Amino acid sequence: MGTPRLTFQGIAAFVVLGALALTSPAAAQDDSSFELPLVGRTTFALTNTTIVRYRGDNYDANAFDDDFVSLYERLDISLQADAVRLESRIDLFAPHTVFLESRCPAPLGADHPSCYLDWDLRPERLTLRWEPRDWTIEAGDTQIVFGRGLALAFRKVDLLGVDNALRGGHVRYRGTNFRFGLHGGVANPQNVDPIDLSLIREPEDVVVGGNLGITMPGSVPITLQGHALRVFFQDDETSPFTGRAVDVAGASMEAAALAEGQLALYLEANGLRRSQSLVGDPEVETGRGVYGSAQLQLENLTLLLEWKDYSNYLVAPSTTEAQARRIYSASPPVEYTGPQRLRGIGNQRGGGLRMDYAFLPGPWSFSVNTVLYGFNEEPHLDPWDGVLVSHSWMTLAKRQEYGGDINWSVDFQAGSRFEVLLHDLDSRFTSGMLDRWMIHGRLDVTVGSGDHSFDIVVDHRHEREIRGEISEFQIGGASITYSFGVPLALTLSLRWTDFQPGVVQSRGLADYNFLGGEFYPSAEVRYTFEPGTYLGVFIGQTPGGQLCSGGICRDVPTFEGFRLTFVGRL
Amino acid sequence: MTRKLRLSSVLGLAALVAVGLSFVAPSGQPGAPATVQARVGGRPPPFTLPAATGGPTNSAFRMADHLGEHPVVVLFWATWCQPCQQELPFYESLYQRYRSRGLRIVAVSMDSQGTVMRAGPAARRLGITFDVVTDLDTRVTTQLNPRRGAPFSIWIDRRGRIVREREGFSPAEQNAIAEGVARLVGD
Repeated sequence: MGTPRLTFQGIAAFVVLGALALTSPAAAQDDSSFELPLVGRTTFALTNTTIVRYRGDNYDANAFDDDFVSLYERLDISLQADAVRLESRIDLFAPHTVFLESRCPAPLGADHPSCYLDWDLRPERLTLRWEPRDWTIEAGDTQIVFGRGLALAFRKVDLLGVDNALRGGHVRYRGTNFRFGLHGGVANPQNVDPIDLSLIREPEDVVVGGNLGITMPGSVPITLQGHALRVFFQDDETSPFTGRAVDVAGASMEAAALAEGQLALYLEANGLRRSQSLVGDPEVETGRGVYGSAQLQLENLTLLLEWKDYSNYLVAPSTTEAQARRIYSASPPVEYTGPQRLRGIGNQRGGGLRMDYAFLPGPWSFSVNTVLYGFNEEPHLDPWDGVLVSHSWMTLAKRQEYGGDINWSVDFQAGSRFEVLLHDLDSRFTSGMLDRWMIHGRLDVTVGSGDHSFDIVVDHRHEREIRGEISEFQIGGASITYSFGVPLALTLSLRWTDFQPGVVQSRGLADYNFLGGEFYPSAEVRYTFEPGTYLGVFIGQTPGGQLCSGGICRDVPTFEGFRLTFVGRL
Repeated sequence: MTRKLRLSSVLGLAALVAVGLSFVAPSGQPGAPATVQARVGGRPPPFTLPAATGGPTNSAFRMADHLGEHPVVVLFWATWCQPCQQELPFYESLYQRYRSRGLRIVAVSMDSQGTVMRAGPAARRLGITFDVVTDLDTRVTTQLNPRRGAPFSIWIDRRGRIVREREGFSPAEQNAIAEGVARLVGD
């Protein structure tokens, strides 16, 4: 491990807040409000998250990120008066080897990519917010979404381990019929990746932009919005392009209560201009991102129709950007939201239809979904000249009904996905040939009586890729969670996958994997001391693979080890 | 790294865990109804969030209209959260029982742009009649639920102060929650 990277501000903040934390038992039982000059009655709040983790072998090619214990400490602090709020987040990450003196031999050095585990202590978030009446004026970190996220989305995406904020100045006004916002700052991603525990360098990408919205007065509100922004991307030493920037301008229309509240329409269109230089020669590209939806709400029936048309569109340094944290847009994917392997970012055109029916006032409901769109990974080719993606799935559910001695709920889901070539690749792979297919299912049953409840979840999917060398794999899992009263929850889980044959083979060699390399058992216990404060212990294994959210994917490594999580609130 | 520094690191780690555990005072026995301790804590920010399209209501929810007037329960949930599908109907039963006594409930959907359109219909399928709103840019979630736990519930008393926060839900808690909300409303 390298030498600790500790900023002076981080050390000072941690010492002050550590002193506050030590006095917290005495303060916890008293009113945590006090009077401050100018702002009045102010309340202090503190949430502490402590994670102690031991990570064994994650079965990647890097031997220097295995067999270590780490401490992750997060303090979320706020001072809240009537219209003024000061909030901050302090993050500490401290890895420590267990069995060897050092995991990075001297010839490699701390700057080697394999030696990425390092100490870190910093004020990750800091915001001063003033909210007089309909205004919000902020200095520091904030999260922003323009429209549905097509143009700009600085937010947290837990599945991908992404937590982006824009650090700078922000002014917003939200009135009854008029609203606007102005923003300018630097991208501030969370620096410790919660998935692979690597330390992320600040990208220093600059964003300036604004949005404006008007709601037409009347019995049927219609909102028109416009937005524009420019992102200046920091030059990357691994890229031959310099001076990269993206301009986006767009507008949206929303009518959420047409036809006596039964029909909701939304349409958003954005144009994108990408500029960059290659060895001094300027280049300019354009793209578009269009999304629309229509939702019909009858008494028990809901119909949702969505349409997307994304062409050479991504607010990122390039359309092939591999780092999810440097993608500053979030286009609605119009896809199944469960686990599956997606092709990634590319040109897409098509839509989806969803039908939900609830047997109200009874507890049963079902839904049917279908998605159909063209996809092309090449940014300059038409999506309907690439691959045709179709996916259909159904859900049958019964919600909990309370008041009896035994209450239960069930949620069942099943579907299939096909990807068909729309053009000839060569003499062997021709238009109309099936390229991939997947079938999947999931069952979730919960039964409770008095202080006891059980939750059983089983899921499985079977995938097959046909182009080139045929590969076929299974991914799934089963878990059972027992809860006793408020405080105690115990989960036993078994995941299985043969997606990565090399990993399966390596895992099979370890004596402790007596079930075989395809199986990943685990157990978790959670004890709640009082509402808001709990201790959780996880021990076992979780498989690696691809995780996708909002059409953006990343690969995550296998995990073997234990994790102790403590959350306390003041 | 020397043995001394390694030992210091282990002791420091143990001290940090001890500090964290010093927040808590275990109360009651497993299985016994958890008492709602009056944690007079943070004051919620006066947020305003838009109604979920296709949900039970059409108008935005303004917290400022209720702070200091009514007891309020804020439920953070998402369409992809299974325990949330159990929690929302349970709070609906409490809402029907206590709405005439001033109880207000708002469910804040943490769905992103890919699933936010489903939040309103999902709530209606669960039989929900209280306010269901969306927080697409996560600003309110960042303030009230910084860990983005789901489900996550906050109880606010008639004086406008947070008295309880809870991450997670299981049907085994229904008796304790029902008693706690009864006290919240009767406060």
